[in-house]
Amino acid sequence: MDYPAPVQKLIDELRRLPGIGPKSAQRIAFHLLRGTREDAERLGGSISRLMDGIRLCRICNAITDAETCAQCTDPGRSDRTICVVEEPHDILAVERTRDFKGRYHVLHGALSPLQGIGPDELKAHGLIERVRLGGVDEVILATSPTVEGEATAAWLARLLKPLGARVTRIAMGVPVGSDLEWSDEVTIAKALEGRRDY
Amino acid sequence: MQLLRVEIRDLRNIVRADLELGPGLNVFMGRNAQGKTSLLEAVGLLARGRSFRTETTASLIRRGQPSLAARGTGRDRDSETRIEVEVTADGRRLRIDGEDVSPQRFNGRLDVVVYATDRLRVIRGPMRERRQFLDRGAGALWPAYRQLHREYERVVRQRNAALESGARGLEAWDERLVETGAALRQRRGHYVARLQQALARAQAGRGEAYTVALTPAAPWDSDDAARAALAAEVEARRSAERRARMSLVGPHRDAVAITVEGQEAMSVASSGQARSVLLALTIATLDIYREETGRPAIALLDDLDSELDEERTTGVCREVAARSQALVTTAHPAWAERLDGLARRFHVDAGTVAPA
Ligand SMILES: [Zn+2]
Repeated sequence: MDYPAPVQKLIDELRRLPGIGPKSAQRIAFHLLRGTREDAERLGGSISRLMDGIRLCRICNAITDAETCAQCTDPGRSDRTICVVEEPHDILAVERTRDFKGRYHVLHGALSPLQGIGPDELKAHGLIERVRLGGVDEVILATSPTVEGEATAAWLARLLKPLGARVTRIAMGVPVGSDLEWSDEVTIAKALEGRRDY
Repeated sequence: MQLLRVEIRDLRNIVRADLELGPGLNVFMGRNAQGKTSLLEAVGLLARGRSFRTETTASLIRRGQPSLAARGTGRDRDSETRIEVEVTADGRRLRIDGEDVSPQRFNGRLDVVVYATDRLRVIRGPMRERRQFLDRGAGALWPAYRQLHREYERVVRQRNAALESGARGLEAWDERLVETGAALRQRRGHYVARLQQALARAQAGRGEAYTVALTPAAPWDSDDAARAALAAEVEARRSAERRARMSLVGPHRDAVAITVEGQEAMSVASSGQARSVLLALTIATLDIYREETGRPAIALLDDLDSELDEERTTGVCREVAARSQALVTTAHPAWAERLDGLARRFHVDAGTVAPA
């Protein structure tokens, strides 16, 4: 049996979202059908207004509704350290620590030739320029500990080091506060590999 | 873990089987296609959650049945554990002492080392089979080896895609190939050295000299030296790689030589010799497993006596029994009957198993 066209169209659109399979798409569509017209319009409205006034920060590529983002304009933060992340939401993860008082740079992805992502597809040019202009002491590469994230870090390190900044990579290992006993072997092996002098 | 008891339901042609296993050799005798191999497969399933014969675990379910189950009761040091695998068309459930667990928690409770006719590819098949034999053996011992191997394969795929597209950014993938490739070569080299030692130790009982070696020779004296060597190979093959549009150097292309009396086994070994070499490698694998983990793996030896003379067969049985618990299948029970005291024997007939 085919659903009426508007329902099927909605299911098809929902299925294109990350983490939504055919069953979830169907469930969401029927949930909306059971609700009021106002509920559906409110959701539709926030989706259609999503792009209004949203852009990438001119300096760091974070998502913002102004020319530059809050982190780039905050006078309380230091320009001397830049933390490089893959995705805009990674900034929130680092911000939750409330310990990092430097600036950010968002690449919008990681190198992955299998998905057609090479250096030209990443937003790294602005980062190179910021470091080239001077005043940056350290660039922290906080890309993911995946094959792609590591390659991206290696590629950036190669570009940034000749510019004179210190380039560091975040540590990988056992989650803090968890028992060693309950960490998986691979994580512990990585942590051993990345051990440091005391 | 030593298996005390194995219960099987609806696996291939086995309707139901309930076996009390002995601590040493357990010999399953029967004509072909009676279900002998399926018994070993059930134990393989208990060890790894999947079959060593087929990729599609659901194809093990007996025709017309909704599911299969295998349950093992084992002793590890002082405690008894019950491990269980249930397979349906939709998937599988793994249990320890009745509780559902993840594959990570399940795997490693029981480990097996398999000898079977199709594994002769390791001796006589293409090079990839020999690399896979090493990676499987070392991967069973070291989780970090498994992870590194996965990572390296992903790096090669990404780097091949980069070479294929001819886009910029290859340097980053060169760097990752050298980093992960050199690390894998070092680990693989250490494993081969261990295998080589174990093969040499067992030579006295066997007579013939078997060796296993890698080209380029690994491990290097230091990780830095391994990286420098691979970086130089990448550099030397750069234009060839650009033409071929794929990665031509690294552990995925390294050669593994297995020799008999100094000559490459692939070209000189008779069928019987090839089996003898594979058995020697199987026993060496059991040795390393025990040295490394402090407990024995279970040997699954399918069709052990095929193309081997009786003397060599019973010799292997004695060697294996001295090392671990083993499940052995044979279509020719004569020699097995002379293993008195060393083996517990079972008859397998039309999917049913009974003590002999
Ligand atoms: Zn910004």
